Amino acid sequence: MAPVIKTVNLTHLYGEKTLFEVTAIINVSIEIEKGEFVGIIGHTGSGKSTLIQHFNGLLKPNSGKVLLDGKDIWESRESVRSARFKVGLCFQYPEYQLFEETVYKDIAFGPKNMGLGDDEINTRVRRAAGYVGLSGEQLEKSPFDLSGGEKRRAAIAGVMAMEPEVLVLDEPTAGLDPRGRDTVLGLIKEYREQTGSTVILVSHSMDDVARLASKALVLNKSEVAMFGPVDEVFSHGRELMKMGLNVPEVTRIFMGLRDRGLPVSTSVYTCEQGRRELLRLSGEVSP
Amino acid sequence: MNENIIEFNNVSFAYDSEIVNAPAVVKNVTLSIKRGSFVAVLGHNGSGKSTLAKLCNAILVPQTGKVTVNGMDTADNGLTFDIRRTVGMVFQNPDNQIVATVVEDDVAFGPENLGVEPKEIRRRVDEALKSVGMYDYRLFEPHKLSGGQKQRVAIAGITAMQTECIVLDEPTAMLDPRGRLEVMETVKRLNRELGITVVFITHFMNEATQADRVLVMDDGGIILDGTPKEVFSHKEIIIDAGLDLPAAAEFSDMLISDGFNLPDGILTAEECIEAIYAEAKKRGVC
Repeated sequence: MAPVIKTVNLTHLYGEKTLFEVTAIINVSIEIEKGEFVGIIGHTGSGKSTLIQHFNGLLKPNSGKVLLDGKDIWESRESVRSARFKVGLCFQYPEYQLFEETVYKDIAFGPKNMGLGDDEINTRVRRAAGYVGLSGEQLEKSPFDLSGGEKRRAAIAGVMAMEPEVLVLDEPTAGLDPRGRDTVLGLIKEYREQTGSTVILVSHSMDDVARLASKALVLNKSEVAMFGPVDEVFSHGRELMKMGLNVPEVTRIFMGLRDRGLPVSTSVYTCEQGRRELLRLSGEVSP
Repeated sequence: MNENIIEFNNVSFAYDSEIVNAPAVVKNVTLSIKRGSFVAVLGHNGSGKSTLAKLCNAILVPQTGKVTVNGMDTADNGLTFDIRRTVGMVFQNPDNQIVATVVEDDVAFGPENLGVEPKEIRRRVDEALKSVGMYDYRLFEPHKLSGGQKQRVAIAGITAMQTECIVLDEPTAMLDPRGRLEVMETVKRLNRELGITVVFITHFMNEATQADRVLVMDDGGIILDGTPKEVFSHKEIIIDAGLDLPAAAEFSDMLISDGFNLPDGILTAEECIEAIYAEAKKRGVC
């Protein structure tokens, strides 16, 4: 089966052929399989947002291709339009984009634009509200009467209600407190388990990526620096730190132990793995 | 001079004071901030942190109780100017607080408004930009800077007014890890080298571990107040307040319950590495 998203030598420039030409991404060739959970990491300006805006045709490549289910999304007008629905993009601070009179109408905006019938819209709005934990009562409120965390969840529901094959979230936990962060990450995990859809999460938080994603894509200076299983990527801690990225705190601890001469693995990225590694080391558990 | 730069005496504040019984966002807070200290403030969204911050330099004025800055009552309109040149604020979004089109003009905005002599402004702007490591960028356009750099410019704009205290309201929330580190290091240096008092609001526990003192807010009140070690030793209260333990603390706790002999109160990766290394040595692993 063709990968759900494939890019071939994707390159994007801003302000092409002007004095201000900047290369945003160069020669990105990646394949994302159906049902995968991919974390995209990279410092500010590394090209993360530019890349994800190609996945649903918001940006057109200057050269190279974007294939969705094996088909070039820029083949025809229809294929671009269908890409918008197949790949749901949830921007950073999406709560600033709420605009309708009620939360219900706001979540219904996407499905309505897809030309769905009222019954189908209703089902989808309620299902999406369920994913993000908004009650029927909250659906009738003005989105502006919700708390910050609720607004964020309402905005995410608006994208989920389109039931895209691929859900892309750009920093969904930015600015939230620890409890809010846990809630949003938990609902994304749940959504993925229930729908089996592909999820792409852009995040500065390596701990979040370590906790949720199966693969990590690292962008550095407009190029793909690494793309592989999460443990493999985090085992390159030192390189990640050179790119201005953090590694999960536990990984940092194990890098430090390794520097001190302890024979530990450095591809440890969760507390549980760290615990097992130390138990192994002290001989209480066989590897 | 009083050793406290900011004092809250039984302060309450509600946003809609017109409405009878409007819920107070800050409730009966009594607090003093010592001159030269570095205080971190934690609390979930809506716990009253930002309101507390705005009460520090007369952006908001309490309905009951009294806030004083160097002994000046923030409710006295005539003193607002002096209060704001003593306590400066840096906000979360770097793009919302830059006013000029050139970095050094932006830093000069504050002192200009204070009526400082042009020659003196030049000196202060250069000094302020050097103190945040942004002097080489003085002729840049702010929108070409990274988030961390913009926040440092905003901080320079405050220090150029020679404020004695900076209140930062989640200055790192919108930054990437490198930007967060830049801002944290800058603020620590200003505190250490220039003796500027720092009140630092954050959602990142590992940033709070670097302060001298940590306050935890919940429901408008201060529920914990002490050194990072003291505060983070109250695990249940921290979790109940919707916060986390620093990752290194969580990991060490896990190891302790597995029978590893680590000391209590580990907060940073460095402390955790030391402790595990010492234990491994004792067990003869290396």
